[in-house]
Amino acid sequence: MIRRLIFLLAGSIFCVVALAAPDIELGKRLYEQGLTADGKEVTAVTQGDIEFSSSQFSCANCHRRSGYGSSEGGQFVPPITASYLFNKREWHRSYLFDKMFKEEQPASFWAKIRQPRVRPAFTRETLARAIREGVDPNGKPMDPLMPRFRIGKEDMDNLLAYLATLGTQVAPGVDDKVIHIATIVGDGVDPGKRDAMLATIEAFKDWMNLDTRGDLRNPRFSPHYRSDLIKGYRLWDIRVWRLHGDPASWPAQLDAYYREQPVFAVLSGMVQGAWTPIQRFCHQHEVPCLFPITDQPAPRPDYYTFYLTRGLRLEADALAESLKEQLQGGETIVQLHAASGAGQVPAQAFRAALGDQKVSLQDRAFSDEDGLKKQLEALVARKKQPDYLVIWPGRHGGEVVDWLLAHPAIAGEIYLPSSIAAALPEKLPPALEERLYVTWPYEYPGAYHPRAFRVRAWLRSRGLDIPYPRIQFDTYYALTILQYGLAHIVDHFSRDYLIEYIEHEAENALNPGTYPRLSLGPGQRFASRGAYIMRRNSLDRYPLTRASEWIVPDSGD
Amino acid sequence: MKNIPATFRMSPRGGSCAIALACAALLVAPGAPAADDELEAIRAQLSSVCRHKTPTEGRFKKSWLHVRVPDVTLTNRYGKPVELAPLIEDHSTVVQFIFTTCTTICPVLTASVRKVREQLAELDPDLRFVSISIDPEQDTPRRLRNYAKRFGASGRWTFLTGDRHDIMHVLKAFGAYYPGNNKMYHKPYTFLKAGKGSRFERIDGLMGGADFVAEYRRLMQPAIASAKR
Repeated sequence: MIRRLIFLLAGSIFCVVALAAPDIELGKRLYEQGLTADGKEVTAVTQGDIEFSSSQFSCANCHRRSGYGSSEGGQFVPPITASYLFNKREWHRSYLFDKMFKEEQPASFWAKIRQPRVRPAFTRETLARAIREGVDPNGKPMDPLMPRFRIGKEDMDNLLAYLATLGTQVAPGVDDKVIHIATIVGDGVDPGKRDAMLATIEAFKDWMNLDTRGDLRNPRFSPHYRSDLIKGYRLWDIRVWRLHGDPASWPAQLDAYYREQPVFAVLSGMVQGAWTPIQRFCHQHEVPCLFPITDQPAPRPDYYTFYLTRGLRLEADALAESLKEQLQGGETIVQLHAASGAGQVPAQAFRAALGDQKVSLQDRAFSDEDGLKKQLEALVARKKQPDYLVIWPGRHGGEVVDWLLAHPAIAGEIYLPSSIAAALPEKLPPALEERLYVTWPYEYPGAYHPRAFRVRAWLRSRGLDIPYPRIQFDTYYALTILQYGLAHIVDHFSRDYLIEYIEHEAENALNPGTYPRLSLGPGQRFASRGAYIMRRNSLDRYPLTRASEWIVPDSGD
Repeated sequence: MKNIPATFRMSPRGGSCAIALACAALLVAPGAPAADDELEAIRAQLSSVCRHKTPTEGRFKKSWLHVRVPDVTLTNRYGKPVELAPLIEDHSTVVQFIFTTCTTICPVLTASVRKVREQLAELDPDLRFVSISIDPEQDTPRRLRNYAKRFGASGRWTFLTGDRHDIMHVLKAFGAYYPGNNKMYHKPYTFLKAGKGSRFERIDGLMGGADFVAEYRRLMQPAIASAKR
């Protein structure tokens, strides 16, 4: 009996202790989503009297997921990682370098970040007071923008427990000398394109490391405040992870590579087929994945992967948007598509985007060359040619072009994806040229982009051939974003912080001219969102000319 | 010194303490021996100075500008075309520039409109609220609908997106184009106009609800209203 009582008592004490222990995961949820332990939204007041709930605004909105703060709209949001909060505030020029010298901010912003505002370290009590009442440890009111949150004791304990961990973990893939980065290439990609991408990456890495080695040899030499920032300098180690065989086996292959050497980020890369398995890998290991060369991004982007465009889905949506403008009703559209992802994905997107137009949309799938031939023969044999023929040829672009050259008048208008443009011969039969259109999610040929000059010059100065300008320029964009991102985070090697920088600065003038505009923002994962419809014009200086304005479809993404 | 905004030049705290003490002495003791006329005048002046200071007072800058609204047709959150010029020129208007993925200032700008819209609509039944996306390629009508719903928008609150070049023209007309060609450097502007005409008061900074209402109320004063064209 006594033993049982002791057991019960011990159990009760354990339960009480367990209940009282703050839950870091719930604290994280509160920080990022503004949800209390029982799943309710937190409410708060900002600017003195503006009520809001966490569906509109949470801690991570301003201080960001990394906790390193942000700057937006002339507002400086200070970092609140554990080392900032629980230490006396000190003024580090190195961590404010971008904000002081690179960002375009109003004078009030610059004045604010230069103020040597001293405050003692927060304690649990003073931090709770700051969050609830907006009073700093000196007893001074904080900026009215800082919300005064209504948070109960249990939730506050969870939040404080999470804040005590924020920014304390060192991301894998970086040590005090080297930062490891991977690029991923798969079997079956065009060897010429792959080698052009890899050569660009290799040349950039060598160029960066040459500079970095020189700087590290003279760490105290300090033009442009370099000695302040040198603590963040790392040599780049870029690994090429080659994937073989069935995409179902890629996760295991990627895991094996990652176990051998974790990387801080995945950069560029190309595989045949969808990028989905790699996006999943990056999500699982929380690795930023920067701008792969792919026309098949995962159907739903996630936090860790940035894409240049939505690829074939974007082309299909833009085409549907364009056709909707001219359809009268009653037209016939034949959609010929490969049974692989490169055919099915845009075909489904096109059907969905076309919506309830009163047209006859007929899908024709093929799985190999024979199947394609049969479908094309059936098209030629039709008594009445379709008004529109949309082809998503997958890997059979060459065969499609050959067939079209032989049977140019197969439909009223013929639409092909951008990937096929390079396979078209320089001269087309007039009957084909007048009805052929290409979806084009890129900048139009001949557009003026000053940075393209610089990128081309850099590639040339490295002794690189430029057989695939778009692939190499896009790779260069990913490299420069990473370069500037790493310079920005200095030695705060947080992957979230890098992602936040990319969201913030992608819109700056790094566009190498391959897209009309590259821009991101918090939570945005596709840097370019539109497409042209192009047509062939053998009389023009460039073989493709614009047949439409820049079309930005209202996608479901 | 000339580039530092007024908010920073004024070193407000020390000065306002002295004023506050004087106010306390004069106002808290109304039963003091009969004061002469001069004292009464001082008391009246101080009483206007010593009103309760709002949390955001002095944290935003005000200026006037005439806006020639470009002749563009934008798209509202339901995908319908909206001619901008009649919407803005023919009515009392509050205009803000926002984007839906903005994390720091746009939620506060938008929440400030939600806070005051009923109060201002009572003051001025002609008032329209217009929130224009500066990230139109991302902010499709569907995204604008979600954003508006998040902030409980209704009634005469129009959310607009559109062609990027059209939006750039509008931004330039309002002197609100962001520096560095990067929307992340946009400024927290609110434009207020009471009645028809082209003259707007531009508020640079984030206002609390009380200041927002006070600013608009001030705009409606006859002396200011008559100068608006």
